[in-house]
Amino acid sequence: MREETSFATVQRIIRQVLGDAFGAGVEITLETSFWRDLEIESIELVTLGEALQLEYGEAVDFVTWLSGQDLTAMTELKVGDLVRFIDEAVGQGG
Amino acid sequence: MDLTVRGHRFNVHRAGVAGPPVVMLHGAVVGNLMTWLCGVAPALSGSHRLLLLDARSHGLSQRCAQGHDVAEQARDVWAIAEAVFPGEAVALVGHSFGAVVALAAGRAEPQRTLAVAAVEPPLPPTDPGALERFLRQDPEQLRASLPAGGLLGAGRRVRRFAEHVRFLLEDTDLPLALERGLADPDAGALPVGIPLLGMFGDASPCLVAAGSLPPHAKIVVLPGGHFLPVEQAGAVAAELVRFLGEPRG
Repeated sequence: MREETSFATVQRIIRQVLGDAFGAGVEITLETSFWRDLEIESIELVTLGEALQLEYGEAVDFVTWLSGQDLTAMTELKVGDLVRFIDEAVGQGG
Repeated sequence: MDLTVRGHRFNVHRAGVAGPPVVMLHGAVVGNLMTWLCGVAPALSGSHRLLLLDARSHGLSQRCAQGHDVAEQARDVWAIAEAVFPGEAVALVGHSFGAVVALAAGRAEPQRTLAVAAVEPPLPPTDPGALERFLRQDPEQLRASLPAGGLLGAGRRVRRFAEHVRFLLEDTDLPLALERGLADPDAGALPVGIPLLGMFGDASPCLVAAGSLPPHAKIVVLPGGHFLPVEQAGAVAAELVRFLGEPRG
Protein backbone atom coordinates (compact mmCIF):
# COMPACT_ATOMS: atom_id res chain seq x y z
CA MET A 1 0.00 0.00 0.00
CA ARG A 2 1.42 3.36 -1.00
CA GLU A 3 1.57 5.93 1.76
CA GLU A 4 1.55 8.86 -0.65
CA THR A 5 -1.66 9.64 -2.56
CA SER A 6 -1.45 9.83 -6.32
CA PHE A 7 -2.17 13.57 -6.11
CA ALA A 8 0.78 14.07 -3.77
CA THR A 9 2.98 11.98 -6.05
CA VAL A 10 1.96 14.03 -9.08
CA GLN A 11 2.67 17.26 -7.21
CA ARG A 12 6.11 15.99 -6.22
CA ILE A 13 7.00 14.80 -9.71
CA ILE A 14 5.79 18.00 -11.36
CA ARG A 15 8.15 19.97 -9.13
CA GLN A 16 10.93 17.51 -9.89
CA VAL A 17 10.41 17.77 -13.67
CA LEU A 18 10.01 21.54 -13.82
CA GLY A 19 12.91 22.05 -11.41
CA ASP A 20 14.23 25.57 -11.04
CA ALA A 21 11.65 26.88 -13.47
CA PHE A 22 8.94 26.25 -10.94
CA GLY A 23 8.39 28.44 -7.89
CA ALA A 24 8.38 26.59 -4.58
CA GLY A 25 5.42 28.64 -3.37
CA VAL A 26 3.18 27.90 -6.35
CA GLU A 27 0.16 25.84 -5.41
CA ILE A 28 -0.74 22.83 -7.53
CA THR A 29 -4.39 21.82 -7.30
CA LEU A 30 -6.51 19.29 -9.15
CA GLU A 31 -7.76 22.17 -11.31
CA THR A 32 -4.28 23.35 -12.26
CA SER A 33 -3.78 23.32 -16.01
CA PHE A 34 -0.47 21.91 -17.20
CA TRP A 35 -0.47 24.17 -20.22
CA ARG A 36 -1.94 27.43 -18.97
CA ASP A 37 -0.93 27.50 -15.30
CA LEU A 38 2.30 25.49 -15.21
CA GLU A 39 3.40 26.54 -18.71
CA ILE A 40 4.78 23.06 -19.19
CA GLU A 41 6.38 22.17 -22.52
CA SER A 42 5.03 19.16 -24.41
CA ILE A 43 8.37 17.38 -24.14
CA GLU A 44 8.33 17.91 -20.37
CA LEU A 45 5.05 15.99 -20.30
CA VAL A 46 6.99 13.04 -21.72
CA THR A 47 9.55 13.33 -18.93
CA LEU A 48 6.70 13.56 -16.43
CA GLY A 49 5.15 10.41 -17.89
CA GLU A 50 8.44 8.52 -17.71
CA ALA A 51 8.91 9.56 -14.09
CA LEU A 52 5.40 8.36 -13.26
CA GLN A 53 6.10 5.01 -14.90
CA LEU A 54 9.23 4.64 -12.81
CA GLU A 55 7.15 5.41 -9.74
CA TYR A 56 4.16 3.17 -10.48
CA GLY A 57 5.41 0.63 -12.98
CA GLU A 58 4.35 -0.32 -16.49
CA ALA A 59 0.64 -0.02 -15.73
CA VAL A 60 0.85 3.78 -15.66
CA ASP A 61 1.77 4.44 -19.27
CA PHE A 62 0.95 8.12 -19.54
CA VAL A 63 3.32 8.67 -22.49
CA THR A 64 1.46 6.19 -24.67
CA TRP A 65 -1.78 7.91 -23.74
CA LEU A 66 -0.15 11.25 -24.52
CA SER A 67 1.12 10.07 -27.89
CA GLY A 68 -2.44 9.35 -28.94
CA GLN A 69 -3.53 12.93 -28.27
CA ASP A 70 -3.35 15.99 -30.47
CA LEU A 71 -1.79 19.20 -29.21
CA THR A 72 -5.16 20.74 -28.45
CA ALA A 73 -5.97 17.90 -26.06
CA MET A 74 -2.63 18.47 -24.34
CA THR A 75 -3.46 22.10 -23.76
CA GLU A 76 -6.63 21.10 -21.91
CA LEU A 77 -4.96 18.63 -19.56
CA LYS A 78 -5.37 19.33 -15.83
CA VAL A 79 -3.57 17.82 -12.86
CA GLY A 80 -6.84 16.18 -11.83
CA ASP A 81 -7.03 14.41 -15.20
CA LEU A 82 -3.61 12.90 -14.61
CA VAL A 83 -4.49 11.85 -11.07
CA ARG A 84 -7.63 10.11 -12.37
CA PHE A 85 -5.57 8.44 -15.10
CA ILE A 86 -3.15 7.08 -12.49
CA ASP A 87 -5.89 5.92 -10.13
CA GLU A 88 -7.67 4.09 -12.91
CA ALA A 89 -4.44 2.54 -14.17
CA VAL A 90 -3.45 1.19 -10.77
CA GLY A 91 -6.99 0.12 -9.91
CA GLN A 92 -7.69 2.65 -7.21
CA GLY A 93 -10.43 4.44 -9.12
CA GLY A 94 -13.95 4.95 -7.83
CA MET B 1 14.97 8.90 -20.15
CA ASP B 2 18.56 10.05 -20.09
CA LEU B 3 21.25 8.14 -21.92
CA THR B 4 24.90 9.13 -21.88
CA VAL B 5 27.06 8.16 -24.85
CA ARG B 6 30.18 9.75 -26.30
CA GLY B 7 30.41 11.85 -23.15
CA HIS B 8 27.10 13.53 -23.88
CA ARG B 9 23.70 13.18 -22.22
CA PHE B 10 20.80 12.55 -24.59
CA ASN B 11 17.07 12.50 -23.91
CA VAL B 12 15.53 9.44 -25.55
CA HIS B 13 12.16 7.76 -25.47
CA ARG B 14 11.33 4.15 -26.32
CA ALA B 15 8.01 2.80 -27.55
CA GLY B 16 6.89 -0.61 -28.75
CA VAL B 17 7.96 -3.98 -27.39
CA ALA B 18 8.37 -6.15 -30.48
CA GLY B 19 9.52 -5.93 -34.06
CA PRO B 20 12.53 -4.49 -35.84
CA PRO B 21 14.19 -1.46 -34.23
CA VAL B 22 13.61 1.99 -35.69
CA VAL B 23 15.50 5.17 -34.73
CA MET B 24 13.60 8.39 -35.35
CA LEU B 25 15.40 11.71 -35.85
CA HIS B 26 13.93 15.19 -35.80
CA GLY B 27 14.87 18.36 -37.65
CA ALA B 28 17.23 21.10 -36.50
CA VAL B 29 16.45 24.07 -34.27
CA VAL B 30 12.65 23.83 -34.02
CA GLY B 31 12.45 20.03 -33.74
CA ASN B 32 12.62 17.56 -30.90
CA LEU B 33 11.33 14.06 -30.31
CA MET B 34 7.78 15.38 -30.12
CA THR B 35 7.98 15.63 -33.92
CA TRP B 36 7.33 11.89 -33.98
CA LEU B 37 5.75 11.08 -30.64
CA CYS B 38 2.24 12.31 -31.29
CA GLY B 39 0.58 10.93 -34.38
CA VAL B 40 3.34 8.91 -36.02
CA ALA B 41 4.87 6.81 -33.21
CA PRO B 42 1.57 5.23 -32.07
CA ALA B 43 0.99 3.84 -35.56
CA LEU B 44 4.46 2.29 -35.70
CA SER B 45 4.87 1.09 -32.13
CA GLY B 46 2.59 -1.91 -32.59
CA SER B 47 4.97 -3.48 -35.08
CA HIS B 48 8.35 -1.91 -34.30
CA ARG B 49 10.56 -1.05 -31.35
CA LEU B 50 10.96 2.70 -31.59
CA LEU B 51 13.72 4.91 -30.28
CA LEU B 52 12.95 8.62 -30.42
CA LEU B 53 15.81 10.90 -29.50
CA ASP B 54 16.52 14.56 -28.93
CA ALA B 55 19.63 15.47 -30.91
CA ARG B 56 22.45 17.19 -29.08
CA SER B 57 21.43 20.66 -27.87
CA HIS B 58 17.80 19.97 -28.78
CA GLY B 59 14.78 19.12 -26.67
CA LEU B 60 15.94 17.92 -23.28
CA SER B 61 19.35 16.67 -24.41
CA GLN B 62 22.51 18.28 -23.11
CA ARG B 63 23.53 21.51 -24.73
CA CYS B 64 26.94 21.90 -26.29
CA ALA B 65 28.69 24.38 -28.53
CA GLN B 66 30.28 21.92 -30.93
CA GLY B 67 29.53 18.69 -32.75
CA HIS B 68 26.37 19.54 -34.67
CA ASP B 69 27.73 18.65 -38.09
CA VAL B 70 26.15 15.81 -40.03
CA ALA B 71 28.96 13.30 -39.52
CA GLU B 72 29.16 13.93 -35.78
CA GLN B 73 25.40 13.60 -35.37
CA ALA B 74 25.47 10.38 -37.39
CA ARG B 75 28.03 9.06 -34.89
CA ASP B 76 25.70 10.10 -32.07
CA VAL B 77 22.91 8.11 -33.72
CA TRP B 78 24.96 4.94 -33.93
CA ALA B 79 26.26 5.27 -30.39
CA ILE B 80 22.71 5.69 -29.07
CA ALA B 81 21.41 2.85 -31.26
CA GLU B 82 24.16 0.57 -30.02
CA ALA B 83 23.39 1.42 -26.40
CA VAL B 84 19.68 0.66 -26.82
CA PHE B 85 19.74 -2.07 -29.49
CA PRO B 86 23.18 -3.67 -29.06
CA GLY B 87 24.38 -5.55 -32.10
CA GLU B 88 21.15 -5.03 -34.04
CA ALA B 89 20.63 -3.40 -37.42
CA VAL B 90 18.08 -0.58 -37.33
CA ALA B 91 15.85 1.37 -39.67
CA LEU B 92 16.42 5.13 -39.65
CA VAL B 93 13.64 7.66 -40.03
CA GLY B 94 14.46 11.36 -40.18
CA HIS B 95 12.69 14.63 -40.76
CA SER B 96 14.36 17.65 -42.37
CA PHE B 97 17.98 17.94 -41.15
CA GLY B 98 17.34 14.71 -39.26
CA ALA B 99 16.71 13.07 -42.63
CA VAL B 100 20.08 14.30 -43.85
CA VAL B 101 21.65 12.82 -40.71
CA ALA B 102 19.78 9.55 -41.28
CA LEU B 103 21.16 9.31 -44.82
CA ALA B 104 24.68 10.01 -43.55
CA ALA B 105 24.28 7.40 -40.81
CA GLY B 106 23.14 4.88 -43.41
CA ARG B 107 26.18 5.57 -45.56
CA ALA B 108 28.49 5.33 -42.54
CA GLU B 109 27.16 1.96 -41.34
CA PRO B 110 25.40 0.30 -44.28
CA GLN B 111 25.65 -3.18 -42.76
CA ARG B 112 23.69 -1.99 -39.73
CA THR B 113 21.05 -0.08 -41.69
CA LEU B 114 17.81 -1.92 -42.47
CA ALA B 115 16.22 0.98 -44.34
CA VAL B 116 16.11 4.78 -44.42
CA ALA B 117 13.02 6.96 -44.59
CA ALA B 118 13.89 10.58 -45.35
CA VAL B 119 10.98 12.93 -44.76
CA GLU B 120 11.51 16.36 -46.28
CA PRO B 121 15.31 16.27 -46.55
CA PRO B 122 16.44 19.78 -47.59
CA LEU B 123 19.01 18.47 -50.04
CA PRO B 124 20.40 20.45 -52.94
CA PRO B 125 18.93 22.09 -54.99
CA THR B 126 16.67 23.23 -52.15
CA ASP B 127 17.31 26.94 -51.67
CA PRO B 128 19.57 27.12 -48.58
CA GLY B 129 18.56 30.74 -48.21
CA ALA B 130 14.99 29.65 -47.48
CA LEU B 131 16.14 27.82 -44.35
CA GLU B 132 18.38 30.70 -43.33
CA ARG B 133 15.52 33.16 -43.72
CA PHE B 134 13.15 30.88 -41.85
CA LEU B 135 15.46 30.39 -38.89
CA ARG B 136 16.66 33.98 -38.69
CA GLN B 137 13.16 35.37 -38.30
CA ASP B 138 12.25 37.15 -35.11
CA PRO B 139 11.46 34.33 -32.63
CA GLU B 140 7.85 35.50 -32.46
CA GLN B 141 7.49 35.27 -36.24
CA LEU B 142 9.28 31.92 -36.23
CA ARG B 143 6.89 30.61 -33.62
CA ALA B 144 3.89 31.84 -35.60
CA SER B 145 5.12 30.08 -38.73
CA LEU B 146 5.30 26.68 -37.05
CA PRO B 147 2.38 24.26 -37.15
CA ALA B 148 0.51 24.72 -33.89
CA GLY B 149 3.05 27.40 -32.94
CA GLY B 150 0.21 29.50 -31.59
CA LEU B 151 -0.34 26.91 -28.88
CA LEU B 152 2.97 27.87 -27.30
CA GLY B 153 1.16 30.74 -25.59
CA ALA B 154 2.98 33.80 -24.35
CA GLY B 155 4.91 32.94 -21.20
CA ARG B 156 7.54 30.43 -20.09
CA ARG B 157 7.29 28.24 -23.20
CA VAL B 158 7.83 31.16 -25.57
CA ARG B 159 10.73 32.52 -23.52
CA ARG B 160 12.38 29.10 -23.51
CA PHE B 161 11.76 28.66 -27.24
CA ALA B 162 13.29 32.04 -28.06
CA GLU B 163 16.28 31.38 -25.83
CA HIS B 164 16.74 27.91 -27.36
CA VAL B 165 16.76 29.33 -30.90
CA ARG B 166 19.13 32.12 -29.91
CA PHE B 167 21.52 29.64 -28.27
CA LEU B 168 21.60 27.32 -31.27
CA LEU B 169 22.06 30.06 -33.84
CA GLU B 170 24.54 32.23 -31.91
CA ASP B 171 26.44 30.00 -29.50
CA THR B 172 26.91 26.74 -31.42
CA ASP B 173 28.38 25.44 -34.65
CA LEU B 174 24.92 24.38 -35.86
CA PRO B 175 24.52 27.20 -38.43
CA LEU B 176 27.82 26.21 -40.04
CA ALA B 177 26.81 22.54 -39.88
CA LEU B 178 23.53 23.33 -41.61
CA GLU B 179 25.23 25.42 -44.26
CA ARG B 180 27.80 22.74 -45.06
CA GLY B 181 25.53 19.75 -44.62
CA LEU B 182 22.78 21.07 -46.84
CA ALA B 183 25.17 22.17 -49.58
CA ASP B 184 26.81 18.77 -49.88
CA PRO B 185 25.91 17.42 -53.34
CA ASP B 186 26.33 13.85 -52.07
CA ALA B 187 24.12 14.28 -49.01
CA GLY B 188 21.30 12.29 -50.63
CA ALA B 189 23.43 9.28 -51.57
CA LEU B 190 22.73 5.84 -50.12
CA PRO B 191 24.01 2.41 -51.16
CA VAL B 192 21.56 0.68 -53.48
CA GLY B 193 21.18 -2.25 -51.09
CA ILE B 194 19.51 -0.07 -48.45
CA PRO B 195 15.81 0.51 -49.12
CA LEU B 196 15.07 4.22 -49.20
CA LEU B 197 11.83 6.16 -48.92
CA GLY B 198 11.73 9.87 -49.73
CA MET B 199 8.64 11.68 -48.53
CA PHE B 200 7.83 15.26 -49.49
CA GLY B 201 5.08 17.83 -49.14
CA ASP B 202 3.64 19.11 -52.38
CA ALA B 203 3.83 22.68 -51.08
CA SER B 204 7.29 22.42 -49.58
CA PRO B 205 10.43 24.13 -50.92
CA CYS B 206 12.19 20.79 -50.35
CA LEU B 207 10.15 19.02 -53.02
CA VAL B 208 12.86 19.87 -55.55
CA ALA B 209 15.20 17.63 -53.55
CA ALA B 210 13.29 14.51 -54.57
CA GLY B 211 15.45 14.31 -57.67
CA SER B 212 18.60 14.30 -55.54
CA LEU B 213 17.80 10.97 -53.96
CA PRO B 214 19.28 7.93 -55.68
CA PRO B 215 17.29 6.10 -58.37
CA HIS B 216 16.34 3.23 -56.08
CA ALA B 217 14.46 5.58 -53.74
CA LYS B 218 10.71 5.29 -53.56
CA ILE B 219 9.27 8.81 -53.66
CA VAL B 220 5.98 9.72 -52.01
CA VAL B 221 4.45 13.20 -52.28
CA LEU B 222 1.75 14.15 -49.78
CA PRO B 223 -0.37 17.28 -49.54
CA GLY B 224 1.37 19.67 -47.15
CA GLY B 225 4.46 21.69 -46.39
CA HIS B 226 7.78 21.06 -44.70
CA PHE B 227 6.39 19.95 -41.34
CA LEU B 228 4.69 16.86 -42.71
CA PRO B 229 5.11 14.69 -39.56
CA VAL B 230 2.95 17.23 -37.71
CA GLU B 231 0.76 18.51 -40.55
CA GLN B 232 0.01 15.08 -41.98
CA ALA B 233 0.85 12.72 -39.14
CA GLY B 234 -1.70 10.08 -40.16
CA ALA B 235 -0.60 9.94 -43.79
CA VAL B 236 3.09 9.98 -42.89
CA ALA B 237 2.52 7.18 -40.38
CA ALA B 238 0.65 5.11 -42.95
CA GLU B 239 3.48 5.47 -45.47
CA LEU B 240 6.08 4.55 -42.85
CA VAL B 241 4.10 1.51 -41.71
CA ARG B 242 3.86 0.37 -45.33
CA PHE B 243 7.53 1.02 -46.12
CA LEU B 244 9.01 -0.38 -42.93
CA GLY B 245 6.72 -3.37 -43.09
CA GLU B 246 7.83 -4.43 -46.56
CA PRO B 247 9.62 -7.77 -46.59
CA ARG B 248 13.38 -7.32 -46.80
CA GLY B 249 15.46 -9.81 -48.68
